[in-house]
Amino acid sequence: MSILDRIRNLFAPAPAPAPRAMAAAPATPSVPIVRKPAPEPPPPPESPVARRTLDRHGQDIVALEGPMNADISINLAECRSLKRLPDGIVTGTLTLSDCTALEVLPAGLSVAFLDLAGCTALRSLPEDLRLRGGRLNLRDCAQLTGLPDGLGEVAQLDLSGCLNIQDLPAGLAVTSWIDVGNSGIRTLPARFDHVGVRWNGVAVARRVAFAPETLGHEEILAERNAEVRRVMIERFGYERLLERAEAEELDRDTDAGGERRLLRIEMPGDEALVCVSVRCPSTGHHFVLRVPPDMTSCHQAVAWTAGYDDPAQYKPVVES
Amino acid sequence: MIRNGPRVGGSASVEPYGQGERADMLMRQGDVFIETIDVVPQEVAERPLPHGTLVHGEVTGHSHRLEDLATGQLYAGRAPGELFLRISAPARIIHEEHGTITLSVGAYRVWRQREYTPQAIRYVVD
Repeated sequence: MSILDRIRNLFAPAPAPAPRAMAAAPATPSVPIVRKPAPEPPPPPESPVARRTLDRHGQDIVALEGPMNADISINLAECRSLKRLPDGIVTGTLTLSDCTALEVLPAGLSVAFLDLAGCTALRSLPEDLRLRGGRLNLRDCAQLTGLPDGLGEVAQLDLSGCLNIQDLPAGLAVTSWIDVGNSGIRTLPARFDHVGVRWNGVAVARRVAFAPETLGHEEILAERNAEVRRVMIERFGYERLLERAEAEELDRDTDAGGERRLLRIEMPGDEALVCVSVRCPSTGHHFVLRVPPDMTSCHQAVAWTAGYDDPAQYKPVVES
Repeated sequence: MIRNGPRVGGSASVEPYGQGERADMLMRQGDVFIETIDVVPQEVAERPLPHGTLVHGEVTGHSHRLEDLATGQLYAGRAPGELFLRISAPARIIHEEHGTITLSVGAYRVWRQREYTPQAIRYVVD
């Protein structure tokens, strides 16, 4: 048997009987597809030699039947009707993000990178799921209540938005970071002490994630990184921060992101802290940026942060 | 003394741009500002950058970047945080969280939002 024949055999369709919806399709694609509602002709078979990757993202697929052979990656992102995958998938990267109808994963799945972000119907992960050291992204898989014990090792674990996951299994090893933003995780066991903690994509100290009430307003306002400061304020509470700091409002208006406020906070023994509170028009995130103490209006302050000493010169036509 | 155009950084004086035929246009994507200018200055054109990343977020890993390197060339500016951009075909500046900004053929100056500290002015770090 030639090498080419062997490769062709690798991509041959499964010997199992074709599913009902395939009965009318005479061709034999490498991955038979069941479409809804009426069967359509399957796409032309692809060259088996080129099948290092499989990209069907955004397609109206209900079920994929095996075997699925793509040694590098399989991309099924935003296949919003997808409910079934074949057993025994072994690949490098499997992307199933925003497959919002997917309730279960197939048996025998072994991957390095598994992206399940936004799989809001996913109820559980199979007990035999094996991860090979890459990344498991479960962002906003809000129905999941836990992870299987035999997962193996991942470098990065994104549990942000997993409201109902409160514990991590004893058999799980994480080597780089865990994102616990808005998840049910309230603390991490000591065996994860070497692992970085993220809150919705921002690397933060453990205290920010798990004990925000212990942050002081001076500490928050002194944080150098604007994203970290934003998360600290979000965790501590914006209104609580202004109350604790006894902030005085100097001005208030609105821009593309919503309400803006210019605030003055007296700092004992130091120059007063004047900051402008703004919201990002794209993310809605709340930022508090320090400006010179002589600023008198929100527009003047924001223009200053953009580099304009003359606020009349600051007229952005696009803000995102 | 800067009368026109934004100041970049604490003390760096930057000459005003965008006073030619094309109307000044200022765009903002998060903490990054992009302004139309007439041409990329000669001194800057000698400092092309091998990448299309305008700004990379320290703690998020996100970046403001040219979607397709074939559509433009980035140059190192004259002050920290300043960049220049020459767009040769309609281009898109993308970011993981912010809306995309589309740029037409032309020259642009790029700089970052700044923030005040009692000791010095610094760029907004994200």
